[in-house]
Amino acid sequence: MERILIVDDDVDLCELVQQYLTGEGYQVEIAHDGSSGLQRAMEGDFALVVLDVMLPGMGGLDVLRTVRQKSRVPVLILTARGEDVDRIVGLEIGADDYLAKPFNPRELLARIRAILRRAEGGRPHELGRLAVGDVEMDLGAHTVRRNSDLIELTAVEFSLLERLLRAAGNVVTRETLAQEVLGRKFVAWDRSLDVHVSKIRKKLGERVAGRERIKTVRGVGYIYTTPGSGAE
Amino acid sequence: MRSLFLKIFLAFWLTAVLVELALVLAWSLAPEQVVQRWRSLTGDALAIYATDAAQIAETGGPRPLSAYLDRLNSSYRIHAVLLDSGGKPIVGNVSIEERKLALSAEASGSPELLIKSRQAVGAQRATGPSGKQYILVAELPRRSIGPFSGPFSRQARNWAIAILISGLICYLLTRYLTGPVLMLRSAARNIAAGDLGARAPANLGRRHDELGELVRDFNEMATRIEELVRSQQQLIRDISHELRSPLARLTMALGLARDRQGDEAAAALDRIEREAERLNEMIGRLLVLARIQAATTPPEKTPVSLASLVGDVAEDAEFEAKGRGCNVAYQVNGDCTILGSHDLLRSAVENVVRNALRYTAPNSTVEISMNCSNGGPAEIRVRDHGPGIPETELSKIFRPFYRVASARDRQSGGTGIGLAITEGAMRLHGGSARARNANDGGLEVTLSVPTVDGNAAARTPA
Repeated sequence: MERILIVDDDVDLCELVQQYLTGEGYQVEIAHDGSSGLQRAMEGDFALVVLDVMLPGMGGLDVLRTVRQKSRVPVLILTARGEDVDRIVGLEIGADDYLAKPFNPRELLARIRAILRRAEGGRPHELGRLAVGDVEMDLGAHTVRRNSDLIELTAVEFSLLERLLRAAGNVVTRETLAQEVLGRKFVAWDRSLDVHVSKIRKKLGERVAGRERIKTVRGVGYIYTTPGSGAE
Repeated sequence: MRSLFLKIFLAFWLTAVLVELALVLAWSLAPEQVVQRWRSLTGDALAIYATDAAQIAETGGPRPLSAYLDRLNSSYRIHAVLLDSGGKPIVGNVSIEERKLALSAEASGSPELLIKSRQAVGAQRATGPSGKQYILVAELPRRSIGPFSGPFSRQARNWAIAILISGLICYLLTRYLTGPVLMLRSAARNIAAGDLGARAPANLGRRHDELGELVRDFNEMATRIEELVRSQQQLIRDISHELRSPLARLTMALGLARDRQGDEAAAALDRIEREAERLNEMIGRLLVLARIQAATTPPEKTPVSLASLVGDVAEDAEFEAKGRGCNVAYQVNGDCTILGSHDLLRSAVENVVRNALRYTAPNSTVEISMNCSNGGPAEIRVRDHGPGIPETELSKIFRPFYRVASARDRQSGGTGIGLAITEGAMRLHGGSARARNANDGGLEVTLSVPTVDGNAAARTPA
């Protein structure tokens, strides 16, 4: 049974979420402030952490930053509706996905499932290796190397890169990426994909062999370039 | 005459000129004191001329004397004749009256003046180098009593200088008075346009006169207004944030209830969920509205393709229209780029379109069109075939929570915030929103927003 940690100062809400997720077969633990949440996240062995960014005292984003220094545990941040900044910054720091409060419990469940599915390394028949150019992905070990340097990617970045590499040289639409990687429908104002792609670019390097590594096809999606597929 | 500056300036200047003229008139009407002064001044002058004439007559003779007297005439318009001690003119002649005057001047030793209507006659005794007595008799034109003496060019020059100097002083004085008024006006205009931080310059407020006090009072008032408005906006934001917590718990509990209840409760739970969603949406819009009202520029300045934005909205609208039993027709002419916030612009257009869908008659078509004119603002027009809006209320529909009276009774959905967001978003981007009743029924809303095409802004390839 997978263990999930909820970090939110709203006691009643935590209780309700715990009831709901327990009913769906997860084991749920709760923390109500930043420092205890951080502590539990580091010492416990959780499959996922649901983290509210609006925590008093040590804010949610600080907790996230500290967690990310030492752990790759998947994190879903809960943001305030209408506060885009938190959402973008959270994704940049390394959250796997976000959900704005108030949220539909089914949406929460869907995103949690999507994140956990990714973290498990994908569907069994897709284990193995994926190599394009200077990048090599070991799907079973969940590692990424560029020219034999180990690159640290979050779970969602890993999935995203995998999807792009599988279609290397061809465009993958935003709708497809949103559905397969984030587990939800693509909406125009959701820039999560942009943020994740930009982080992958930074980590792997913007250019490879004299061309852009991942090209944005405006209004359509992204393409992991191969030699001859659109040098720019 | 619209300008306060001009009014004050001309009033001052006219006053100055009139005062100058009045002085002149007063003097030329010659009350006795004035004449006394003049007498002594003229007497001194005559004495000098007389002494010079006597000297020239003795040392030079009649011809140089003539020349000198002619010069006096041409330079100063003084027609003078020099008499010897017997009263006989050395050159030229005099009238009997003048002779009598000369003899009395000789006798008294002081200048004698006879003031007539058009001229004055003066006589002054002088002693030549040899010791002999002479008398200078001179006709002075009346106008030499006062500023109108001398050749026209000199008079004109003197007058011109007087007018210019008084003009300059009046100008500076007027500037001093109207300057603060102009600054206050500029600050007031900026505040009305939305810049709540605008103030009149502080150094003006340091003047110790009533205008300085006005400036200080104005700035204080502006600060108070700014505080009031900001606290009101903050209140809206705080309320909206606070409402989210119970809503979040409500939706969670709703999720739990669904799992536990059977189908009988499902319909009611659906209803609860819908209302919770409506609350949620209202809070979101309130937050957007509060943020729009507090801002003077868009929250971000990224290039937005208007054609694709309107296209997206129109396509979503087509989908929604099918569910309502009406149609959407849209036409996009060209493309233009706007620097601003994609979300806000999309909301703005969407709200108008949604309204149109809501009010248009069944089976009618909502028409959406977008036009980019070269270098000018882009226009988005949405026209429905609904009941339209009473003429008197056309401008009010963009106010928050404003609903046309009859609409509030009907279950038409909507919260009255959408169009306020549209108007605010347009304003932030430097544009505008207008509504009018279309010729054959229905409402036509026109959104106008400036574009960056035609400027030197960087164009990103589509």
